[in-house]
Amino acid sequence: MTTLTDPEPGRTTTRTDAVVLDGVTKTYTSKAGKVDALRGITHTFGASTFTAVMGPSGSGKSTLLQCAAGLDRPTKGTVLVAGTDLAKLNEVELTTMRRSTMGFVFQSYNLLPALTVFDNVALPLRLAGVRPRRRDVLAALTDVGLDGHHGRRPAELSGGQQQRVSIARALIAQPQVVFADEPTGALDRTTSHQVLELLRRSVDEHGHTIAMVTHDPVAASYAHSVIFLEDGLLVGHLQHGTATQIAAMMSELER
Amino acid sequence: MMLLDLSRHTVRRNIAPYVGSFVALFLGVTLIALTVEMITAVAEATSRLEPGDTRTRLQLDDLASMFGVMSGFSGFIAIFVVASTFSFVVSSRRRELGLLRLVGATPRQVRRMILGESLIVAAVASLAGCVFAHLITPPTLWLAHERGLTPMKLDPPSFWPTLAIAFPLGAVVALIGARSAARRASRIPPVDAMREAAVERRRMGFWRLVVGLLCLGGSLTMLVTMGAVTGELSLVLGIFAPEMLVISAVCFGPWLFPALARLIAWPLVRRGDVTIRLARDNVAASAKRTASLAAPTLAISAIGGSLLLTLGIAADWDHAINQQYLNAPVVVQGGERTGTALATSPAVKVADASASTSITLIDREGERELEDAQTVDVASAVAARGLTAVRGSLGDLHGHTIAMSESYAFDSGYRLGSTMRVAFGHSKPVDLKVVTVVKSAPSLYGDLLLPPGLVAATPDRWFVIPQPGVADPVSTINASLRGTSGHAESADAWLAATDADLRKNNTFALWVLLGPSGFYAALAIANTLLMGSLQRHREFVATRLIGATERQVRKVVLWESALVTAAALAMGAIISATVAVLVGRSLGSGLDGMPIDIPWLGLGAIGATCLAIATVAAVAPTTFMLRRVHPSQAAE
Ligand SMILES: Nc1ncnc2c1ncn2[C@@H]1O[C@H](COP(=O)(O)OP(=O)(O)O)[C@@H](O)[C@H]1O
Ligand SMILES: [Mg+2]
Repeated sequence: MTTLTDPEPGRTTTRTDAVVLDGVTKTYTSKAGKVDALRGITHTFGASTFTAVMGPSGSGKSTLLQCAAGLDRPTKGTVLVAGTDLAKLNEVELTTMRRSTMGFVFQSYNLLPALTVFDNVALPLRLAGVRPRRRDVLAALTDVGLDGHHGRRPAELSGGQQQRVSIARALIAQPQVVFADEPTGALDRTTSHQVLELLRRSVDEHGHTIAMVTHDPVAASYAHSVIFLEDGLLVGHLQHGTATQIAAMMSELER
Repeated sequence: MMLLDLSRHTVRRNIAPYVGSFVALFLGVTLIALTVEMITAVAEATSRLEPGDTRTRLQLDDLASMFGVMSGFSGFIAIFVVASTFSFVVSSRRRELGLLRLVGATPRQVRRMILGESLIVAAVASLAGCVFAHLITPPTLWLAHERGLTPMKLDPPSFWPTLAIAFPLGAVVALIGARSAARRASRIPPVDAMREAAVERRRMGFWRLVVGLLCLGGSLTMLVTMGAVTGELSLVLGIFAPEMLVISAVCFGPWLFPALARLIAWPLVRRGDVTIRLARDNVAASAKRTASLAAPTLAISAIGGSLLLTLGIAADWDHAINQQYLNAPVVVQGGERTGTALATSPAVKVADASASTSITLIDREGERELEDAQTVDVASAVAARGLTAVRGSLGDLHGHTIAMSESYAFDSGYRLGSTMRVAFGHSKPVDLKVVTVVKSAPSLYGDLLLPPGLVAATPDRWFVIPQPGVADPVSTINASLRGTSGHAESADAWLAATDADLRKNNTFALWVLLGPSGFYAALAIANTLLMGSLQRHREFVATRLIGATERQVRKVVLWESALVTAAALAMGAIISATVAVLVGRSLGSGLDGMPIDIPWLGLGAIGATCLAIATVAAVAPTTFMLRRVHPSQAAE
């Protein structure tokens, strides 16, 4: 059992590609007609990288994330996570895969109101049939700056604190990749900064991989690289951009 | 282990959605447990009875089987009600369950968790229901005696049979109810954790489809059989077919009810205002909720409606039979000396005596059962009561023989030529040969007919054919009966009185059979609607935010519940009408004419009560919620 304070160096860096999308297309069919949410995306999220996915609303960011995480099946194309083709897995195998290799963080913190902070963080391990070690869970909470909050219920925490609990939960099982959809969308500047710092640190210090959807250039500037989506297509790429550069690229694309 | 632990946690913290399930199950188990207590009380009373007290024994036996049927109905209704409430629990926790899937719960784990939670709720509710039923048994027994339901005052029974029967039954009802909800929960995809509003897909589960088709097939078979057979078999089918139809309608509910509601709304929308349109769209879009709301209403209206109609038609049939076969224009009721007076009266041509007695049937296993029988004089019965043989010959009815009605033969499985072992009172059993099967006419000569001389029976009724030329037979015969307890009336008057009596008994039976489960269904419908409305807090607030007035929201809710209830009632009416038409056709065949008296009042009362409850139960919580919220809360 590994913990955040006791990382296994090199464990996630032995594979260089955490998530590989190859020609991913997603078409939603409903009564109102067809919507091409993704129109052929090919991209590789390298291991131990922090990638931001940007684009205007409705450009397909969330869809991209969901397809990459196996929450939704692409209409065409393949998705490899940690070398496994998701299309070859059934629902139960996908679930098992998800709990061992993926973590999730969302705009709405998505904690179970019935459980304490401790139990929320320990939940993925318990679902996987692993008896969580108290020491590990507490360490994960310390790592996100929530010392001594383990006995509280989500309702007794601020938004930023809840988001940090969900990050601790996402990281507890040492996933290969963490998917985050607008994790700071509901937070103010100061708390956003704390959360983003935390994410960045988990990549730099513990070698995690993060794919984060955002529409905020400041949030995107914490990432190593930014990819830009528009209308379901990958339209741009930026390495180590500052918030100003990212914002400039965004407005250029939107023009 | 872990999941049960999680279940325990989540039930404790998510008490609110389970309150509805608890209430539904608690009431259902209370009802079932109460009938078990009554049956136990009856059984204990029977075992203490003097061996010779056959009358009371017969009455108590009937009572026990009536309570049995009643608890059957209660259990049946309870399954639908409890299933509806569990289904609400699942839909109100959609996001949470999606989240569990997202962080690694397999579909199986989610299903087990919901089942675990349901079982915890079921255990507590069942136990509470049993205890509560035991507490209210003494006053219920008192009331039953007061109302003339029991022949004597019954003592409260011991608690253990109740616990042993009703408690597991409650758990079974809950499990059946929770099964489909849990299955549905396990199919919630992990993405739902991220979606604000999830539109449920109406994909039909495999088992639901199988059960739906099986029940539809079964009920269609029953209906076809009902159309083909004549007589009382169709009555039996008429009691069971509605339940099967209800089950299949509920299985196909997510398609059926929205479609029906749409159809009902169609003429209203064309000239109505925006609220009707909105209501129709809501009802059609949330198919699962619509189906959950409609199920209890459908169950009670279909079962109540068809039972009401079937019993009414049975009475119409009895009346028509009596009218067709009764040839004697005068009916006399009286005691011992009446018979002698009739025999010597010059105005009387035939006095056909009907003498009832009870006999004990002993089957091959030595099991004893009490039955009513009559002794008849064949020649006079043929003349006065139109006694007609269907099989065998009436002429053979002498010595150690017996005759039975067609429907009794069908029910019991005895055939022409079979031997029945019968005991009269305390005497030694004798073997009687079935020599003829006669047309059924329960009010005229009952089900079992014995030749005279086999057993001493005192006549209490005579069907009299006067001598030709007697001007006013009724008064003439009454005159010759002076000094005896006898009283003559015209056949028409007797027929009318018999008919009224039968209908009164039917009404009573209906109240006993359906009263408790109807009351339960009423509470349950209110409970389900309440859950449905409370769940939509956010939606109501959002509707307010986009500019709907409080009144408009209330009107939408009102229309929605009216549409759902109307759809359920329409389906209930279709089921009841189909069953009634078939029962009517099958009973009426072979009769010269059978005027049907439709109990509009009772049917109307069922419909009106359902609509009234639905309206109040949907609008009251909405009003309450709207009063306490402000549109700004939608932004939360
Ligand atoms: N479940 C769905 N059914 C139909 N269309 C959808 C669904 N989810 C997303 N879409 C459509 O796909 C497109 C991309 O959506 P999304 O990935 O959520 O965009 P973003 O997250 O960038 O705002 C949008 O046009 C949206 O309307
Ligand atoms: Mg999005």
